[in-house]
Amino acid sequence: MPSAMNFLRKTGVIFEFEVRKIAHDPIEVLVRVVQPILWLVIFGSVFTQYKAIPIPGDYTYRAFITPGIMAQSVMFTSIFYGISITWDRDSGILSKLMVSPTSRTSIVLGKALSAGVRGIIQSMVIVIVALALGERFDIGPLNILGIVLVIFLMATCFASMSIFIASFMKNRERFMGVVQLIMMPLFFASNALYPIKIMPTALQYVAKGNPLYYVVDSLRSLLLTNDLSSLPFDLGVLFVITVIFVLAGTWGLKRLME
Amino acid sequence: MKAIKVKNLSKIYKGDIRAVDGISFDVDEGIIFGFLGPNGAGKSTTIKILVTLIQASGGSGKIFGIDVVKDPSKVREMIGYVPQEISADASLTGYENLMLAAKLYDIPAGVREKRIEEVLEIFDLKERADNMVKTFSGGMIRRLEIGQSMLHQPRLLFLDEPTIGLDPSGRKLVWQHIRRLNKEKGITIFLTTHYMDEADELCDRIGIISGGKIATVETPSALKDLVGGGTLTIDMDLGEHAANAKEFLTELLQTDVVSMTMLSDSKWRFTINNVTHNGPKVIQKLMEQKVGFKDLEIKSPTLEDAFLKLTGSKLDEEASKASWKNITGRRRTIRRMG
Repeated sequence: MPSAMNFLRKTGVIFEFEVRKIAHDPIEVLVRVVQPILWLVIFGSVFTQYKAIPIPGDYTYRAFITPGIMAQSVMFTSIFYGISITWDRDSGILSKLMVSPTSRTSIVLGKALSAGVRGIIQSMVIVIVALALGERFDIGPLNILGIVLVIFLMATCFASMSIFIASFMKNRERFMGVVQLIMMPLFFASNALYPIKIMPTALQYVAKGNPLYYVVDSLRSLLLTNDLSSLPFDLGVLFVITVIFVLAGTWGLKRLME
Repeated sequence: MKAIKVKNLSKIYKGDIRAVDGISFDVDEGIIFGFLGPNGAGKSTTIKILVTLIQASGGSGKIFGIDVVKDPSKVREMIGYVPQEISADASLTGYENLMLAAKLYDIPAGVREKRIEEVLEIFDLKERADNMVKTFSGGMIRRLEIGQSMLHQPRLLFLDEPTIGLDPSGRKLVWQHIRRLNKEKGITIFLTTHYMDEADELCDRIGIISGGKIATVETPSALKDLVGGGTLTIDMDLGEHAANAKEFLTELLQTDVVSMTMLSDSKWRFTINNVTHNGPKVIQKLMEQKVGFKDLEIKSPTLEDAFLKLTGSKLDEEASKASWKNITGRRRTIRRMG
């Protein structure tokens, strides 16, 4: 079998069985949506009322942060994916996968892609809640396709970043600590809750180096503004970062075994 | 061709810790070969190198002539591997675990179902196939794992501590399955264990390993012969010779026994080389002298004795500390998965 075909097929197999696990335990996915809903309902509604943060365009603040909250929720789920890899390592599951004729990259990519499925479910719930709160999004099927693509890309990006981080951590407690430490700065140093124009200049540069910025920017253009001029650039940057982290995660997987 | 050929293999970790210290051995095709040694002897490390999970620091390992470093993907297709830790996925069903293995090993879609059915049948898991693995007993999980590892019909199976943490009936069942895979399917088996009885029961050849080095590789019976002395304990009625028993017995048996000890007035223990063979001769000589027998016990040397003699340490002592850690670790794994 040509190796590229085999690579795609094996990635699909890993992905398939990760999704089956999600299907066996759907409650877990839904529990994770509670927090983003609170952001939207409480934080979003309060700030909509007081118009405290200047936003471009003719939208409510709640509509403005809906793509931001989607991105946040998918990131917060994906960025903990490394912990399941350390579990698989401590049990023999990972050893057994790695002894089968399956490329290490397939293992990382298959698992990371499955974070996208959780992401899609969470995002759907968030959009439904926003609609229920009276927001309207005027978008076509191509936009929806674009949103699905962005969510899979970002979930893969942060999940493989997480696997990479996990490969340096001797125990789970430390992993949790480090991830907690980086996820809030990633969230706040982005355009999820406010346009980066209102940030101090130095922080604006930091935001431009933050993958979440490109995620929110593309989600916002697809869901809200329909101004797709920066979309190709955003997707390009996101794609490159994702490829880098998938390769780093693959390298991390080898580290984990030693 | 040899199933496994290992030459000067070593694995050195940071701080000059020699987990495996220049070992060499061969395994013939078709046999059950066992590595016997305490935890931390280098058994799992050797397996991990041979199944292409980690890289050796030196030396070479070949599986059916193929180098594990130069062509790992070819090696992976020929072997099955069951790690010591639980490796079935608790959040999938038994059937799904098998399907996952079948797909990862490129078993064609047309025969997957048939192979899985066959494995469920062999390992007596049919009724529970659609239950989540987290509801399985330890023995069932082990059987499922061995089933997963043989779906692609490997020529060689690596089993790392196949019965660790199982109850006696679970162990017996796993032993039966291992023997059947070897006899009926002709699969060569390489296993590691720190249980004497397991090595004795299953293995055609045993490599004694301790401190990263192989002490010897032999058949179980040859290992026991190495120890030499078995014992023959007899409670007897010496009749007219009772008064000068020691002189009488020494004269009669001095060419047959290594040493003798008086345990009570009528009870004596003789240490005899190759006791199962030479013990009866001693008994016959005594009978010819009209000695009456009240009680008799023949004890062959155990692998335990062989291990003690070869490595200078008792396996039980070394293992009991380590295996406690091991078992609690394993329990933790189960709890977390459940």
